Order: sequence, then structure tokens, then C-alpha cells
Amino acid sequence: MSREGCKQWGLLEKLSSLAKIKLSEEEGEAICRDLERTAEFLRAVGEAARGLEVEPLYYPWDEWGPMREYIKERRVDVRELPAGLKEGFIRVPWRAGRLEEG
Amino acid sequence: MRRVRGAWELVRDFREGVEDPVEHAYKVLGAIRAWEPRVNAFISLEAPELVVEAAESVKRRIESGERVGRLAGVTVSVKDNICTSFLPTTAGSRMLDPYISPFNATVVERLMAEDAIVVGKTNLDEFAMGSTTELSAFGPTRNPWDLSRVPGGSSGGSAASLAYGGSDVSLGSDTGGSARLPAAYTATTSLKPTYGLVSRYGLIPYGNSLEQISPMARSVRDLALLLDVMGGWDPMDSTSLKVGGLDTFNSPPLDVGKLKVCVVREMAEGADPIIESAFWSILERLGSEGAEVVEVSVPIISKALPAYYTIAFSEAASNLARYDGVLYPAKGFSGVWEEFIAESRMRGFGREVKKRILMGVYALSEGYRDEYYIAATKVRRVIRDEILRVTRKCIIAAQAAPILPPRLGERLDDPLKLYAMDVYTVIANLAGVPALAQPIGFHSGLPIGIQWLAGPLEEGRLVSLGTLIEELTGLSGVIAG
Amino acid sequence: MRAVIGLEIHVQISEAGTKLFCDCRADYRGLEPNTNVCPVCLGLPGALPVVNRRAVELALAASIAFKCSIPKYIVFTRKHYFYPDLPKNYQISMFERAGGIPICKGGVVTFPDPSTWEWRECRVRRINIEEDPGRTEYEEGGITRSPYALVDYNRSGVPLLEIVTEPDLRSPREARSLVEYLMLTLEYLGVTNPRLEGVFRVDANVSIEGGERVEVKNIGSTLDVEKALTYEIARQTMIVKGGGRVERETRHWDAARGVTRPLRHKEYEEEYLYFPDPDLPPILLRDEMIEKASKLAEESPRKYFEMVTGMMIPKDLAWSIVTVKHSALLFMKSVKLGADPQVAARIIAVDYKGELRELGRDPHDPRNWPPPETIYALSKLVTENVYTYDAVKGLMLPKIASNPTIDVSSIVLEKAENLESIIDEVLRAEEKAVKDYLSGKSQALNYLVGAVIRKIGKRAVDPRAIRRAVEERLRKT
Repeated sequence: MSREGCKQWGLLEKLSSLAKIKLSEEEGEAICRDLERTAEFLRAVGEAARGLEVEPLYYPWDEWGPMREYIKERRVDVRELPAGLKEGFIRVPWRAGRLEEG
Repeated sequence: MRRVRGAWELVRDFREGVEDPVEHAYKVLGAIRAWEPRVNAFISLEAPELVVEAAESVKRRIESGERVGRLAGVTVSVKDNICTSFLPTTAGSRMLDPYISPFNATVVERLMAEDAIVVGKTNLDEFAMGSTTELSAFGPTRNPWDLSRVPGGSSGGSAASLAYGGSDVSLGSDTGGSARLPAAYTATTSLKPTYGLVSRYGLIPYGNSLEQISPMARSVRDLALLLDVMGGWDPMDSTSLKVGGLDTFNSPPLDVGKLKVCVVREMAEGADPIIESAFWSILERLGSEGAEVVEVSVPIISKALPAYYTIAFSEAASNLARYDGVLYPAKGFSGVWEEFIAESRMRGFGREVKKRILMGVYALSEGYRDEYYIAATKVRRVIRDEILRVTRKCIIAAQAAPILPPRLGERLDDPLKLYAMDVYTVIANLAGVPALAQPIGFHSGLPIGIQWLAGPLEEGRLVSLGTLIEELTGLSGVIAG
Repeated sequence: MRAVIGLEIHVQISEAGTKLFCDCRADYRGLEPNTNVCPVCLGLPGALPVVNRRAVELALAASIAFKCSIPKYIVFTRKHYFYPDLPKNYQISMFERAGGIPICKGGVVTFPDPSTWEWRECRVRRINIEEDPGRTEYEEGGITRSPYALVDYNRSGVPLLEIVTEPDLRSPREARSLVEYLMLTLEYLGVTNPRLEGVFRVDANVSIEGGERVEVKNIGSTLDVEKALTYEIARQTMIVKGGGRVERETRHWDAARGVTRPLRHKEYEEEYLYFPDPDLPPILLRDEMIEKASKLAEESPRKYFEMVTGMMIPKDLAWSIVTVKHSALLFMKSVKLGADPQVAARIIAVDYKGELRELGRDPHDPRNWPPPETIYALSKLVTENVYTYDAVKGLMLPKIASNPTIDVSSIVLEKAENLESIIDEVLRAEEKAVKDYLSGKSQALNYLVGAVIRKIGKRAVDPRAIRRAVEERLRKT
């Protein structure tokens, strides 16, 4: 990735590390430009909410969620998923998990 | 422009033996063969012989006097973010190419139980993130009315398949207008149901608190038929409302003399003058038929777009965290786990998806959450309350799209312009209320649509109004070519 | 050095039947890897969670038992972090400061110190309901060097209680007692089975005067709670005594080596992107459910302990009864039938339990215990002086322990019916000894008693009772 033309480079790096998305150089630059404008555009909600004395609305209705006794068993055969398998286990590349300490 | 019969008429004619479901299936398959190379509405198609076989089965059962379902012989296309166990489900992403879901979405099960025939899975912006259907890993879909233009998005594949006759009805999904905008761009119709009326089980989530699987069709009555089949409580979706026995298809005709339409200024202004003039002229027609049309203002709606996108990005960042190369096809190269997943996500996601995930992480992260995500949910509450207040008194008339269908590539380089396409449609998703999009005219061969919003669970009123509008405009069952 | 300890205890709601959000089994043990999985607990695209009512009910019972303030409704949140065993890369939990509402706030656990029998208190900050991740194994090289991680999602989605205490604990021993009693309480409530492998995990926050708080993760047994904390306090004390500073950090308990170690990876990042799960609307805790949970919450080891000691049973015996839930229930039922509490307590707490140990049978398995009618019958034999306690213990308990459903009367009656005739038979045959006895040679009695016992063979006999019976019979001749 390159810093050229991107004021929020540090932020972009932090976000892509949190989101676990590697970015190519070209992509990083393009996204960085958009990110700045998009953040600016979204900032309007912060301003709009400042005067509002209301609770957040996370779910549109004043309805309570259900609880189940039993619906049905829906077993999945993991062999049908595009996953690496070893003796029934899902096999994931590991090597200590992280580069910086590995 | 050509005119075709509605799905509800087809079912009736199949049952009465005046129409042959097998012949009809061949007709639909023929349209797909003719149009698909230019339009690219489908990501995957059912084998033609299986489609024909299903139609033959319907025919056989009708002939032997057996009971057939409410959608017997109706061909349906399904947006490719709705899970099917018999065809791949990609969500328009390399991340899920190829991925076959081990289960069918509840809506797919319900449609098939009524003898609908799934002809294929339709193209969409990757993970439904887009408004033009250009952002698919499987190439853009083109608008059958003008192949140089987009069909709208993200359910553009579904809308396009309807617009050229590649299916009788379709399933789309609508997070912020993703089914209504394409309807407006293709002279088809779509009804975003009340949040919770249709099960989301099997819909690959983008913005869970906003979206609904939405019927798409070429007439309002077909929407009603489809909604009646697919809607109603599903124990597998906690956000599903405990309603059942829907019968919007038989909604009583509207008494225009008692109809009150509110034009919310913020949802009517700012569109292309051509669209504005079509909008006002249909309202004038309604007025002359006896409806009361009033203008109101809801200033907070000017903040709907950033509120909507903040919530959608946040939920998306969370929903898409699972795609890490472990259980899905896109995989990194590294042998080190963290690098492997970051590579899988680099390879699997397109740029717009990455951007939205990053913005969502930003909106949810410590230090920004209050100013973004929480702020957006507060604005959302105010908007919902205002919309509920207005829809208690009247049906809201609103624009469906601010511009006529743009040319391919025209909107892509500026994200804010892309987002602005949803300015009128996101309101219904924020408020959870039902909204209907339908055509009201053409300009230089390009469709113009309108949008109606009603109170929660008032789909029946929208169907009645939509049917009336169809009578006024004559725009029902139209297809391109 | 004075230590301040707070615990974070993750307990599986193993008795919930199914997983928290789907109908896969909550009891995943012994299954082939990845065979107890479905679209929901694998987090497959389009699958949606629906809350298990039983899990909420049991969590509510725990919250009521710990005197928490119960909210009107609960709200689940998503907690995001990437790890191979977390299929959605977020965990559904109940983080309070991001719109979540936990099932319990501000409770207290009262637990005994078994050396003094005093009741202590430890405040509970909150209890969350959340989902367990899958299980990860590593190939050769372990977590630090294995080329691959091997993941089994059978556990993914099993309901967990996350119980967070205030830093009210002062010693490793006390921390262990709390965890032991907490687990026992949850067993009494029907929430969990404390003996299942991996059913609970403890993270401990520990600091000593003048030092920062250190978190020790991954403690898997009550014994290890004590060991890990003892180790960690000693480690911190050494640092302070050496003039150093204890830094705030997260360490890992290595049970095999008995040491705590700094976490090699920053596995626990600070940024969890919490927000309410949009797939799960708030859940109202209705009165019916609270009533039902309150019923469950009435059961507690303390209640039984007090009932048992109220019958003048010594505290250590009472504790021995109470620590095995089934034996406490059995004791109470036997007493209710009319069993003598002292006799029943000795049988249940000491001697029958001892027999089970000898046979290598699990005292926690109700199938290894006789019905209360048996305890009552045994008690009656003792109190009515048919047998001495020792006879019951020595001759009957082993038989019952190896066959708990055996009919007691079958052991008793056999002897009671035959004794008279056997004695008559022996006296008839041993004419000389009888004569000797009657002529005053009292040691002949021993010979006669011995002869009777030999005749009876291996059946249940109490030599003193036989002696009495023989004397009685001889007096009549």
C-alpha cells in the first residue's frame, strides 16, 4: 500500500487490520480516497443526533423476540462444504496464527 | 414494448386447461436463451430439461385432477443471495464461488411447495451492496429496455429477468431500495414488505435490521400472490412477525374518494425534472379521481441517507466477518492463519464490499461508535416515529429513483453519487414499513417509477392502490422488446 | 502478601438439551468431530439464531439463586474477534455497554469455608448468556508451531453462563471454595453437570498490594483455580519483593507445567465492535418464566445442608451428603419415610459411599444408589435392634452397593425365617455341647454359636443376635 494522496492512511491501516482485509496498493489508494469522503458524508448523523433525546432503535418494532422449545435438527455434513478436512476436523492453516510473532 | 399475462392469470389458465404450462415453460426458456447473452440477468440457470419436467408434472397433475399449488407452473427467478440447495448461491461474490447451501431459504421452500418452478439465480451487486448491479463478480447486468443502461440494483438481475420475460415472478431482497429501485428502472413492480412479514431465513444478510426478501413481478396482483405465499411467521427467524394467513391478493378495491395521499416533500424533491413531472401528473390524476393529496414536510428525512448507510455498513461489517477462507471457497495462500484469512478476504471480496466493511468497522469502533452507529440508530428512531405518524393518516407518495436509469459506468467512480440513488427508498427500510414501487410512465423508452409507503402490515392497501394506478396508467405486465 | 481476586467463570448450561440458538445437542461429548453441527452453529450464510427457552430459564434460575436484580428484558450483542473456532467470527453475548442487557446484575454468591463452616459472600457483578466457540486442536508443535489448527464445531453454540464476580476473594483457597460451591449450586438448580469434561473454565484477575491487575486465563478445574492463583501470587510477590513492578497483563495457565505464562499472541484485542445482534430482538422475561425459574432456584446445597444439620447431623457428615446431590435428595426422602436421621446419615455419607468407592462406582450417578425405601428399611433394622449398625454395614451394604435395586426384605427375611429352625437343628445335633452348657460350662456357648454361624453359611448374620437367640433357646430347654 502507498500513502500517496491519502491523509487518513493510519486509519485505513488500523481498519484493514481490524477487518482482517489485506489491500493491494492500488486498492488501498482508491479506498482511502473514498473512505475520507464517505466518513465525511456519514458524519452528518452524528451532528443530527446531537440534539436528539431519544433511545437508539436497533430493531424497528416494539415487539419481543421469540424463544424456541424445539424447531428441528438440521445437521450439515461438513464434507459438503469447501473446507479443508482431516479426520473429520476442519483444517486451517495455523503456524502460531500471527506473522509478527511467528 | 410487449404485454404478457400476469402469473395469477397463468395459474388460472393452467388450471382451466386453456394454457399449457409446458408450452409456457418453453417460452420462458426461449426468452432466456435469446436475451441472456446480452443482459446477463442470471448467475446460474436451472437445467432446461428440469424446468420442462417440472412443468410437465404440473400439467400431468392438473389433467388427472390432482390438487396443484397456488403458483402451479409459474416460473420464478431467485436473487442469488437467497439460499437454494439445488443451485449455487454466490451472493454475486467470488467469496462464494462456488458455494452450494445445504438448505433452502424458507421463502424458496414455500414457493416450491406451491409448485412454482425455479428457473435460475439472478445477478446482484456483490452481497447486495450496490444500486446498479454493476458490482457483481459475475459481470454487470444490463437493462433490457436499453442495453447501454443499468437495471438498478442490487436486485438488477431479478428485475431484468422480469423485464425480458425470463421469469414470471422473482424474489429480490430490499435493504435500502434494492428491489424497488430496479423495479422503477425496468417498468416492473416490487413490494418491500413490513419488516418481519417475510422470513429472512436463507437470505444472506447485508443489513439485517433493514432488509426483507421482496416479491418482484410485472404486476401488483402478482406481487400480492407471491407475498401471500411467501409471507407469514417462520419459527426459524426471530425477527419474523407472528402473522399468518395473508390474503393481500383479495384486497378490496380502493374507494378513491376516501384515499388520502401525503407527499412528503423530502421524498419528492430533488429528482430529475422529467421524473418529477411524471410524479406530479399521476398525483393529479389521482386528485381528479377524488383522492385528497396533501403536502407535508419531515425535515429529519434529510439525514436518512447517512443514517441508513451507517447502520447498513455496521451490520455488513459484522455479517461478512465469517468469510475468512475456512468454510468458504475463496482462500488465501499463506500458511500463517492471520495472513491466510486477510488474503482470503482480499481475494474474495470486491472493492465496494471491502470499503463498506471498513466503514462499518469504523462506525462501530471504540471512539467512533457514539458519533456514528449509535447516532444513526437514534436518527432512525425519529425517522421511524415520523413515518409511523404520517402513515397513520395517509399513504405516502414518494419518488422511487432520483434519476432515470444511468448508463453503465456512469455512477461507479463516485461512491456518494452511487449512494444517492437510494435517497428515496431507504426511508421505508429505516422505518420498517411496507413500500411499493411500480411504473408510471416512460421517457425516451426509459421507465419511470413511483413509490408508495403505508403503515406496518398495510400491504393490502398498497396492493389496492397499486392496482388502481395500473388501471390509470395501463402499465402492467409490460416487457421490453 | 494480601491478594485481591475476582473471577470470570464460564459454565456450560449443559442441561439445556440443545444449543443456545439451534437444535443441535448441548451434550456434544464423545461425538465424531463436526457431526453435531447445523447451518446455525456453523454460522452458514442465511442461517438465523433462535433462542433456546430452556437455556434462558436455567440462566434465570441461576440469577435468582444469586439474588441478582433481574432485568425486564434481555438483549444479546455481537462480540467480534477472529479465531478459527468462532465460525461467524463474532460471538453472541450480552455486552452491557453497547446496548446489551445481561440476565443478572449485582448478585451475590454465599459459599461455605469447609474448614470453619462459616458462610462467606462474594458479590456477582453480572451474568451473561453466551455461546461457546468450537474446539481447536493443534498438530505436532502445539499452538506455537503446528502448521495447522484442527477445528471441531460440535461445541460451537453450546449455551454458556459467564459469571463475573467482584474482586471480593482474598485467597486461592477461598477462590477454589467459591468455584466449587458455585458449581454445586448450579448442579442443584439443574443448570449444569459439574463433572462433565470441560464444562467450566475460569479466568482469574489477581493483584497484590502495589501491583497492577493480572488476568490468568484458561483454568479448567477447581483444584487448578487454587494452584494457578497460588503460583501467580507467589510470582507477583517475588517481583514486588525484588523491587520490581507488576505490570497489567494477561497470562495463560499451563496446567501441565503448573505455571502461568504471558500470552504469546495478542489473542484478545481491545476492539470488539460490540452492537446489539440485529437477528435477535429483545426478549421479555415474562412472569410465568420468572415463577418457573424461581421454583428451580429454591433448590440449593445450603438449604439441604441446613436441613441435614438441623437434624443434629454433624457438619462434616452433612457436607458429605450435600456434595453429592442425589445423596442429599435420597437422605431427605429416607427421613421423610421415617428413617432415623443419624443412621441414614451414616449409611449415606460414610459407609455406602465407601462401598461405592471400593466398587469403583460413581456416587454422582443416581443409578448407583438404592431407593429411599431401602435406607428406611435398613434404618428400621438398626433402630428396632434386629441388627446392629455394624451388621448392616458389614453384611448388607456391600450387597446393596453391588445391586442397588435389591429388595432388602429378601436379605433380611431369609435369615429371620430360618434362624429358629437352624438353631434347633444345631442343638439337636450337638447334644454334648448342649449338655456341657447346661451343666455350667459357659464356653460351650461359643462353640454352639459358631456351629450355628457355620450352618447359616454366607448369609447375613449378626453374631451377637445369634448368641442372644441361642441363649434364649437354651434357657427354654
